[in-house]
Amino acid sequence: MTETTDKQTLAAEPSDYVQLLKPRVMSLVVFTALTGLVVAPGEMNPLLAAISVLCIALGAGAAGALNMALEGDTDALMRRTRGRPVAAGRVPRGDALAYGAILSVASVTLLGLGVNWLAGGLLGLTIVYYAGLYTLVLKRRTPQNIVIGGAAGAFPPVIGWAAATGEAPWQAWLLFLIIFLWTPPHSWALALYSAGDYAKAGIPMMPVARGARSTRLQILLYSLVLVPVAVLPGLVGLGGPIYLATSIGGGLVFLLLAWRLFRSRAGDQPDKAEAVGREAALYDVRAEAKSARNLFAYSILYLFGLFAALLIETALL
Amino acid sequence: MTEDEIAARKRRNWAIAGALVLFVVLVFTITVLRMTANIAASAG
Repeated sequence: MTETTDKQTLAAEPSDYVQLLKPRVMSLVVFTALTGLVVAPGEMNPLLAAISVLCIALGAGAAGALNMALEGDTDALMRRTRGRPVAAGRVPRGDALAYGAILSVASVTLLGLGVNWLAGGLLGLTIVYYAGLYTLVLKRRTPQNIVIGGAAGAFPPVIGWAAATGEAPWQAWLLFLIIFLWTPPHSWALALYSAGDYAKAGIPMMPVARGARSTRLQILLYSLVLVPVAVLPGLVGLGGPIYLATSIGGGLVFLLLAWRLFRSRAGDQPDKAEAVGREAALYDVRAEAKSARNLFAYSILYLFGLFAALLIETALL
Repeated sequence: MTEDEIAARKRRNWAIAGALVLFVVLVFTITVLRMTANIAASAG
């Protein structure tokens, strides 16, 4: 252990280790996994259901910790990520790696032994997919990184469904497909007003590799596919009238914002938000990039609304 | 080690202790739940 690493270890706070788990991402994972678990047919012991969701959350957090450990150098170059524990030098890279690895093994083993091995296996696959395929292979090599890698974020409802039933039928994969198609417009909207950061870090996000105009077009095309697909659960019996209304109404707003973004000049000029704080940079953008910021912010609400509608209709009605 | 570093270490130690207790409780709970389910299945 070097002297620097010793100093880092001495200064680290428990909150740094919580931050390594990417709590914001984890909250979405918990929510979508819980929806998959509740929407799946049959009854599950409530305590076992809670343990399943906890394991899925821990597994997602472990993948986040591995990601931050492996990307500490590039995270340090970007405003949005430079405050992360490894990038900021508060937690040594090796500690973050060990932490992620231990949590990965613990969460997969507990889910496999306690619930079933299909769910445990899918959780393990998700961690390997995100930390291995996305972080190590795709992210720095192709502008399609977020398209292929986005599948990692789409697995939780399938894992939840598998935990409840021991199976992963096509209905579970329909929920997967919604998150899979949602990820590119969501991530590229953010990338349109953070392109300078990605370019500096050498990450070929779509606006950096193909330009802002092509990115805006691809966001619109993905949105045109996403919105009808998101209505499908309401047509095949997974969701009822509340889901149908949410998916159609919410989808139309999504399309409107994607169209406005397409017609805008968002991302055409490099962002000049250097003076903006790390957290504020997510939402405080220059005027011409506001349409990108609006779609980014709305996309989170849209996905939350879809899964909330499914959850409410299944659990309460 | 400075006083701040000693305090930070103490907080990390408490966090690790909490995580270990949670892990033990989880394993115990899962074991009881699985055993109960298996006994009920074999009795039925």
